[in-house]
Amino acid sequence: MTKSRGLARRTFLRGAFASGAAVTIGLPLFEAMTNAHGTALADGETLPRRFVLWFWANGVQWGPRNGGGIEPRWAPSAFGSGWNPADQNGHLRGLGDVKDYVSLVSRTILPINFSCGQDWMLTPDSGRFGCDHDLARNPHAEGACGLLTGTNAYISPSFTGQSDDWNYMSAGGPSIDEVMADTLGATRFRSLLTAVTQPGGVPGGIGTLDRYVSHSGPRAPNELEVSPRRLFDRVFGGGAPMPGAPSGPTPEERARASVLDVVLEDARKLEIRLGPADRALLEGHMDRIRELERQLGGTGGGAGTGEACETPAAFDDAAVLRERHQQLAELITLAFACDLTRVAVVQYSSPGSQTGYGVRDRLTRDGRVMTFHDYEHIVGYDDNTFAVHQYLIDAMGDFIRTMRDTPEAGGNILDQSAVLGTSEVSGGQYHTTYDMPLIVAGKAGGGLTYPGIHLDGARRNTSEIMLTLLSALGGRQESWGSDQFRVTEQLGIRA
Amino acid sequence: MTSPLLRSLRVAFIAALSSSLGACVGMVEDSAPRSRTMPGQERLEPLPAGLRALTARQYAASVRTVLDLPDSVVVPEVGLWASSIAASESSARGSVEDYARVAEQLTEQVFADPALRDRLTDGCVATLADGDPCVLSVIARVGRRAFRRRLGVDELGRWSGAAQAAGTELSDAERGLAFAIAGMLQSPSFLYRVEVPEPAGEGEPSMYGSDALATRLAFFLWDATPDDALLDAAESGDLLDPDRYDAIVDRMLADERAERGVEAFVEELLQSQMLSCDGDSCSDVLERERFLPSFEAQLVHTAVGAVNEGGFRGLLTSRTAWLNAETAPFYGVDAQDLGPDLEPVALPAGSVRAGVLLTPGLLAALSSSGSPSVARRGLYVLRQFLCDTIPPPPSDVDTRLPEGIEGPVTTRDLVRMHEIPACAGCHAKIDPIGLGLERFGADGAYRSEQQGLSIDPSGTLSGRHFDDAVELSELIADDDAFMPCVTSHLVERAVGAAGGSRSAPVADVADEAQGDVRVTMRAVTRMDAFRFAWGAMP
Repeated sequence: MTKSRGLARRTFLRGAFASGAAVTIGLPLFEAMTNAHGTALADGETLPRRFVLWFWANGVQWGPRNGGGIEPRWAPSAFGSGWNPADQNGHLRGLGDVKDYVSLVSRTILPINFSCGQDWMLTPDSGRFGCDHDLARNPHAEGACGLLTGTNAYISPSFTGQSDDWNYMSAGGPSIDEVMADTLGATRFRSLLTAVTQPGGVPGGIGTLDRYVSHSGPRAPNELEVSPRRLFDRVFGGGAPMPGAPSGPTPEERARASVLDVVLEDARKLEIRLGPADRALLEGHMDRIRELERQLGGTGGGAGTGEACETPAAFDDAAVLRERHQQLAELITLAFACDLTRVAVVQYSSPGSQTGYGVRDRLTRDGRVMTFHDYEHIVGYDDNTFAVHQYLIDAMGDFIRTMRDTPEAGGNILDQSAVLGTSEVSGGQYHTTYDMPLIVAGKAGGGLTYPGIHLDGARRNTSEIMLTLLSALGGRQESWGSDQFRVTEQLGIRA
Repeated sequence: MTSPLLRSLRVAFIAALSSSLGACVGMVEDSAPRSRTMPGQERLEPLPAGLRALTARQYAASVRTVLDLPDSVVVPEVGLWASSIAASESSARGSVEDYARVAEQLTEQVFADPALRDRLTDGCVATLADGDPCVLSVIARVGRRAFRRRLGVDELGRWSGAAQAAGTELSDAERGLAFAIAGMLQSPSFLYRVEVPEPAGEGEPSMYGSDALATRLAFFLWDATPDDALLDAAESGDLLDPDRYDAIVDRMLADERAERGVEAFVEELLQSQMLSCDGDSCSDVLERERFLPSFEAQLVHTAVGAVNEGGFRGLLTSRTAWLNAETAPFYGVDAQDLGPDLEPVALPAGSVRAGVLLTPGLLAALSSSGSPSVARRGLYVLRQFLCDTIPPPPSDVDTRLPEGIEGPVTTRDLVRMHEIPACAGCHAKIDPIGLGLERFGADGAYRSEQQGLSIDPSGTLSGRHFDDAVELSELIADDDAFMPCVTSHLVERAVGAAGGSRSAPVADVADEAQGDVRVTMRAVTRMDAFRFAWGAMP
């Protein structure tokens, strides 16, 4: 049987490689080692599962509602597996050729404080989502926090009630990618955290939610890599390790490890002198040091078949955003294929981002030039906003396709993965968090419905998507989120 | 909370000092609180003692000091935090990999350059022998700079051991030493300011020890880690002697590094990072159009010059601007004699600009979507210069100004049409300031007309009339709230917590220093909030 060698070098090459073809580190055919279903290695070891959070800012397209007003217009009209990517003027057309892998959950509710008091916040059993944490109200920051961490935002003690509240908010807990990293098993890199556009927000501010969707805990945002080239150097600089290949740490790595041991010892001695809050903060920092140390523990050792694992040739960052995103997509997928990591974040734009992605460079109204966020907010929904929304889904399609086109165990990488595509609000004009875009791709090793369906979320809590994905990928969590974000139920996209 | 704590302040200080300083009883009276913190007054709230992450700038400056690097070596600024308050509240864990990379690259660079290497090691040669004297002496000296205190015997052993272990792995003692030094730059003792006061009873304030005081002084006054001389002073106990403490502070303020402290202060006060939009930090074509490359530096240079010349008041009233060829046209100054570098230029009489508020970059930053923003500009002035907190608008109010009005209108007309009774209280404060700045467009350039209509920049602030933005700036600087407010920003930077603009200790400092930035800095170093901490210790 022939398979396309998914991680097309042509796309890498399009990204302007300096020279030469990819260096391939041996490609033994591992199919013989997998069982008939291609889901597990012959010795019974399950293939690694992966999770991708693919995030963009400012929601989706809206349109007129029957009976007046407007409503989100991203989800197709038909439910079930017959949903049509051409619906809604083709908003989701970018998912068309991966449709079988994609499930959509529409009409959910993200119960943030900003939205308290809205009628749609009534739950199916006619109770109201709790709204007890009413200190500040910023839909972008609260939305990213509530959706991705299941917590109410941490608000800095320096916040005294002023209007620019987002400058003072950080996450109240770890985001889904961090929880997934704990769930999916240790690999050389705990996760690969990337951004396509430069994180926005106020540099230097206390607030972190307008810059970073990934947090490892309260007040602890994770830096995102915006340069595919730097990501390449970090992940593949030493050559791609073959899963199962015998390897051990180099002398340099052993030297680094012995030094990091002393760093950890320093931290233990320091902890004794600190109060509980600082102790927790330091403990979190040390987790990261331990992870750094783990990366030094040898270059191999990953699970999986490794059949698509190779070291790409060096290349330069592409100038066009969508091409740069493609470079990230291919590097991340390669890292999955080599089992160097099982979790990735792609922050195409940061919550409330002002970027227009170069899709409509000069958005104008009454002679005023506007950024995309402001345009969507002030002007609303027209061809310009639609072009940007459609562009974002197209880009997500690129990512999903890259995973699907990369072979593994008789299938492809997407078969063992779940990609969650989402945003911090459903719409920018009213900053609504009803009918949040929840787009899931992948079979999750059989944990998710295939072919994908369009499910009516029926005003259920967006947190349920997180619990569903954790469960689909093998997690044993029984609940997700705290306060009004806490749920114990899963959605019907679970296989 | 804590009014009982405040009541017990003086007693507790003495108790704390007696218990922690033992024999130094003679200094108790002198070190007791000097300011008039009284029960019932709004408290000045220092954070509980503990860890404060380094800002990205402080990181770079500290690495430079620890490795004794000349200016020719570039040290990247690593870390997610640009403001000292943000860093005080946050973890540095998000940048662990970058810290590792930079530390390893720089130490490798130092050890590859004989001159740099000898500066760092004092010319000794490391060997793999147990207890190698060169390794011990380098670890002790570099370690003291990195951790801002003398290394304990066990620490010295651990890090020397790390150098030896790494050197053995690499069959290269020198590289082993370099790896160990890179390791010290990744230790929490380096990446966080460890400010733990001497133990005191529960709920009682306690004084910072010598090491913590040296750290607080250096980062406050220099925005950098303590140097060898300051660490020597800490070790000798001089910082615990009030007179010698004051003399050391004066020496530090006279040092050229104090200029960095002033610069960091004005950057945080003005939030100048709003203006940064170089290739890497700005991905949007519109943003790039709004911000010229020299806007941020123009603001910071002008602000530092103004505050040095005319104190806090000078920030808003200075008639000297730092200009280059790119920014001179905004000031109506002939750009012909100017190159790319910023230099001080005395503004012509009748200039429409003065001080920092009327710098083109700041006015551009306080705009949105191609229009100057009345609300953003008004709120910025109220918050940063007058410490007046304005709550967010009610969630059911449409905050957009009317659109599609027939015929030409000015922003002032639109604001009038948009008046909502429930919002009037706050907007009575916000709008006059924002409208007073309306003659500066979203690109920061001066304009006298909008849609063919003359823009009226006059208004009132706290009941006093102004004709234009220059007069508005002067009224802000003359406002009763201005001096305590700016002073409180400086105090925040020093202690790592916000608030306190209306507290008695801040008012005392503002009264005493009258806006002179260095006098204010000196006064802050004498505040209880600077030298004492509270919060239960483990």
